[in-house]
Amino acid sequence: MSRQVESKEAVRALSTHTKVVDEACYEQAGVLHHSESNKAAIAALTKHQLAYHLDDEHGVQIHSSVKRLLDRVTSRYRFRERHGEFSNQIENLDYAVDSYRRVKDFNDDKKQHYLDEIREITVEINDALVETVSSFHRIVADEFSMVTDVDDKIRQIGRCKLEIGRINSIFEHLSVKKLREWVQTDIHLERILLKLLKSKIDIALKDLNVSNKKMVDMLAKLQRDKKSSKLNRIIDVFAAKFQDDKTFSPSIDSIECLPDCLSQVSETEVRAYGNTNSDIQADDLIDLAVRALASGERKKGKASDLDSIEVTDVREDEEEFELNEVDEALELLFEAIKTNPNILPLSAAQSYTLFDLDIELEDWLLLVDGYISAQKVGLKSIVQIKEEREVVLPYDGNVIISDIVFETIGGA
Amino acid sequence: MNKFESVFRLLMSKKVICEYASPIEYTYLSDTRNRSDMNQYLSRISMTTVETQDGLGFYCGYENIDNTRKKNEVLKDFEVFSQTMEGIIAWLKLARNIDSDSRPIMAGGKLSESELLAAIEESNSLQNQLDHIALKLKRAHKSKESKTKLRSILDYLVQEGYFVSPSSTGSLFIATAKWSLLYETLEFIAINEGMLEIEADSGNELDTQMGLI
Repeated sequence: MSRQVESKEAVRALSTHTKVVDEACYEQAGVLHHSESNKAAIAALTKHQLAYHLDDEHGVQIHSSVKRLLDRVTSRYRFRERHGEFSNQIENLDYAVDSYRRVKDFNDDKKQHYLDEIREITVEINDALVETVSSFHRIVADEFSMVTDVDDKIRQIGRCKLEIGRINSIFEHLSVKKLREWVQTDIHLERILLKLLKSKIDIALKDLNVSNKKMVDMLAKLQRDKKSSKLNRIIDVFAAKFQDDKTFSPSIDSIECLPDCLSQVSETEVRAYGNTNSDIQADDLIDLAVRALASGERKKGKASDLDSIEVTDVREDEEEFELNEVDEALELLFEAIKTNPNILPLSAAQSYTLFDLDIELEDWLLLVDGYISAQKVGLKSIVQIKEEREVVLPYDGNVIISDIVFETIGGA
Repeated sequence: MNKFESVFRLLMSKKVICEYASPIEYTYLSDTRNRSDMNQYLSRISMTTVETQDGLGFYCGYENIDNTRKKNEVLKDFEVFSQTMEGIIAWLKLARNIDSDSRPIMAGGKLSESELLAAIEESNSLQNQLDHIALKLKRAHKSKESKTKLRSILDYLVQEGYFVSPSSTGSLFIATAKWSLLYETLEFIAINEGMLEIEADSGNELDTQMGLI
């Protein structure tokens, strides 16, 4: 008798605190936190060994047997895979139809037995389909009310969609052609399979596809929500940082391996110049120059006719240019190289340090290289020019010129 | 100009090519053969096309940062970006506050200047936020009119490639995938500065789920 009293009191404890227990099981991973509102539930459940103490910080863990009980009684509210079940039932149906056809002409008892079996399987398929459809409806309508985590929701919907796909492909085998093969000319089978089963399957599959479509929308929405919450978190941490630390300025100087997002190339101007030394382009370039001149004049409102452009020969005229610091240094360097062999050997990098220029070394080397290219013939007879080259491994086709050294011809 | 050249010029001008800013070039580059052609061309100058993590845009990046010149270039660009970062974050917050669902700006998202202005003029707090953004981005911050400030900020964001304005009146703005690149950068910085924890990326899983659709 006391056993029954014990059971009754345990069930009553669960019944009294159903809401708290249900929430804890499906939303808090079975944990009941210590709080004033949970106090009574914790006392009742621990008294009947339906929960056990974890620690003061985490509270009380509801026993897995309680979770199993809730799972059991609420199973129709949750998704479970049934495509295997359908597949088995269709196989059973195939076997029963085959057996029925074999015995129907000579054994009435067995014929009736198999006909009953076919009817039962058909009813079972119908019931399972109705239950599956209603469970998917619930999933769509409640948006997985038992799952609060977005990732879980996404996973669940993914599984549901996969299941619908499998069920659809299983029932694709139950085509009218297949059913006709089973029925042939049998009037009993026709009523069961072609009229009853087929119509129910069609309705159920149509319903499943509606659920599927809704789930696609839900999944897209969840994806958006998840992405939004991630981006909002990023915005918030920076906003908080700037508020807390007015001087905050992140630095990436010390990062050795930069990610793609920080490896974007700087704005690079893409342009080309006409080759004024080429006869091939001469006509086109003259044409372009004349047009550009005319268009410039037209804009100024001075001339509108190409023929009226007066061309003055200024080739013999002299014009004075003011050299800037860098050009001046460049001129000085080459003048010294050409006139004073005592300063050799001299490197471009050395001269860069001597001149103390306000440009990058790479730019200085480029200028020196440009000067050499322009005066190659003249320089070659005076000095020997050596380029110090470096290659960064693994070799990517690029050779970096780190310095240019001028030496006396035949010198070390 | 052929499509290859047009894509190349956009990449060289530091643009993020996306469906909203340059649909023709985006379609061209979305074709794996065309992208591979472009990468082959760019690889001779140690560059490559990079797709944003959300797959909404392409930009040009270095294959690797293996010398001082490249590193200095990247650092210089980052320094310029970090000077506007506070203003941009404040703008993101303002736009999110005005959105009815509190959604952040994302590629393809639309902003209406008149709606923004109406919301700002109704709220002192939003006006203060706008003033702060104008100050941080140095856009019409001396002006007393919210309308002038808002227009100046929007013009700046269009000029920087964050938005495109398809209508001739310029009152509607569509966000480009440059925001995707910005969020990637911010996330990296936040993790690097210890402001965010590295999150187990469920992106692949999500993609799989979308694949099921």
